[in-house]
Amino acid sequence: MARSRLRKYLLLNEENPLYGYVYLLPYLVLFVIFIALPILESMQISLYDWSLIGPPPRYIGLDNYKYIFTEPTELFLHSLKNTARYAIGAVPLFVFGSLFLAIAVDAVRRWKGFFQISFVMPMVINVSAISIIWIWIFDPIAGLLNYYLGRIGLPPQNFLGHAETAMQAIIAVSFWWGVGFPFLVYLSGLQDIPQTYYEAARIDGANAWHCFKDITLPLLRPTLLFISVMQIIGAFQVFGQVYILTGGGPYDSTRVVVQHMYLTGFQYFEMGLAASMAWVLFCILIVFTLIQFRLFRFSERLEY
Amino acid sequence: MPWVRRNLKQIVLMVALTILAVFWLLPILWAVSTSLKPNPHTYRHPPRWIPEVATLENFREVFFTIRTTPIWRAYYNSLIVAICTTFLVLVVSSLAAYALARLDFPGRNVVFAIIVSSLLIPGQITLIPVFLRLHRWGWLNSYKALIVPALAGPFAVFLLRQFMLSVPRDLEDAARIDGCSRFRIFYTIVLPLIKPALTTLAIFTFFGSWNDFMWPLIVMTRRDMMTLPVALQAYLAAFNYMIEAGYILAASVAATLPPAVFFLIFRRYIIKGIALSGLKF
Repeated sequence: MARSRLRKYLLLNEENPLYGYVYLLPYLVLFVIFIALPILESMQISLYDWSLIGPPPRYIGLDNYKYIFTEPTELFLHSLKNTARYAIGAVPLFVFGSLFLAIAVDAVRRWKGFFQISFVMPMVINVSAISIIWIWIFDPIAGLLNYYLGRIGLPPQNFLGHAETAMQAIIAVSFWWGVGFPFLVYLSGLQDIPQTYYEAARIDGANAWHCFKDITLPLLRPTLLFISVMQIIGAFQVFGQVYILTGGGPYDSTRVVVQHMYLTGFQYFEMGLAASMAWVLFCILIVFTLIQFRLFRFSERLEY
Repeated sequence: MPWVRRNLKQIVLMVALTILAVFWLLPILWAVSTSLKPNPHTYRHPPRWIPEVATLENFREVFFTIRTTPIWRAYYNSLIVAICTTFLVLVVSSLAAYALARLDFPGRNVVFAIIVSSLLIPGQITLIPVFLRLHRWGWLNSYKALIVPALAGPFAVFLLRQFMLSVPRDLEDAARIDGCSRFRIFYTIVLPLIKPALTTLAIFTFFGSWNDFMWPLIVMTRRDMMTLPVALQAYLAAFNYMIEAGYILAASVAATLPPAVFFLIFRRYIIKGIALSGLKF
């Protein structure tokens, strides 16, 4: 009896209980090599003094974590603060700015396609190209923006070169670039709300504000939550546009976490320090990622 | 005027949206305009939207420049990487998703749980170990360094598995009773049924690979291996903004136009795909 059960494992056909692994194996091998093992290695590296160009790796316990929070230049703490500044500015803009755009485009009767294309178009452009385009527009001498500001009587500004304006400029560019995704998600959420709800409300004498507050907003809540969480996660991982637009300057006023980690790991080759920064970032993100996870679980049952 | 009064809300909405939409498109149009100007004209005041003299000289220079990665080369690199990545992600992930959704084997639920929980880990965590591994293997500055690690992403498997579960099983059961092999069921029944998910995944993977910045910046340091975003970023250092803005903008426009045209053509699929990814599979 036991023997025949074991013999099944030797079959070279679909009856072998392990047959599923034939399909799974290519992915599983890649997953182990490039995701599973690296996660464990990353923990290990963060506990080592691991410089690519210096002496061989040396175990130092939690010293990397201690160091990044206490070293005299405080660059990591500073970059955390800057990332939070970016998130505080960008997340509400993304969450509510794109909601208002979506509501407007949903309500308008003509040219819907044109409006959609306009707001989504920047999204397909790569981060270097959008940064170059905006560096050119922000240019203190020949920039379009300064020219038109001058026309209405404002003095020329070096938007990316001043600590007060650089982060705002980055947020504005990021919004221009990334509004398309939340906009489209909202739009499809709005289109899923049955028109009959609004008609019924109107018969009962509800005005536009009531319809928005009592129908649109509650029914859109899962979408709103999804976009918020996603934008928070994205904001804490911001890198490309900051790296190209300001390089973290002026005076490190826009240096963000991922950029600081990139510089530590790939300019100074301090792998241990960079890995410990990645884990600090993970600790910040995990709360939001778990919320996102729950949303995915429930999404399967989301019907109006 | 009763018509205006009746449609006042629509008119206000139209005007507001049109102004916003124009603002959204102007930066791109300004880049196109600058890219067509001869370099000495780019810094002229007042700015001119229509170039006094239009030339394609800037594009000729950046496509074949010897000062940094020529744009044709960056295109070639980006295309190879994006096409291979997309194709292989579809193959590897759909096979794995099929096993996880439809086949019964010991350890399936554990494997799936591990794959799903890896979605919690942000990409920055694996960055350094994967870099060190590729460095050891001598894979840096090769296409495989961009393609192979991208195939391990858990999201594609997760997406396709969820989609496969939502497809009715009846057809597959009928085919099995008729003696159809598992692989033929997968290839001729399941894959066609999940085509919408495959299309979405293909578009996302292609754009993701095409626009990826950080990873290629780390592993592609040799000029002739740079993909478009990395090469473009190097243009800012290789050319002088004060006197060669036309070149830099031409490079950006050249990199922008193909995805923009692609977007206009496949707009429906892309928009549907994004809607699909937002909470609804």
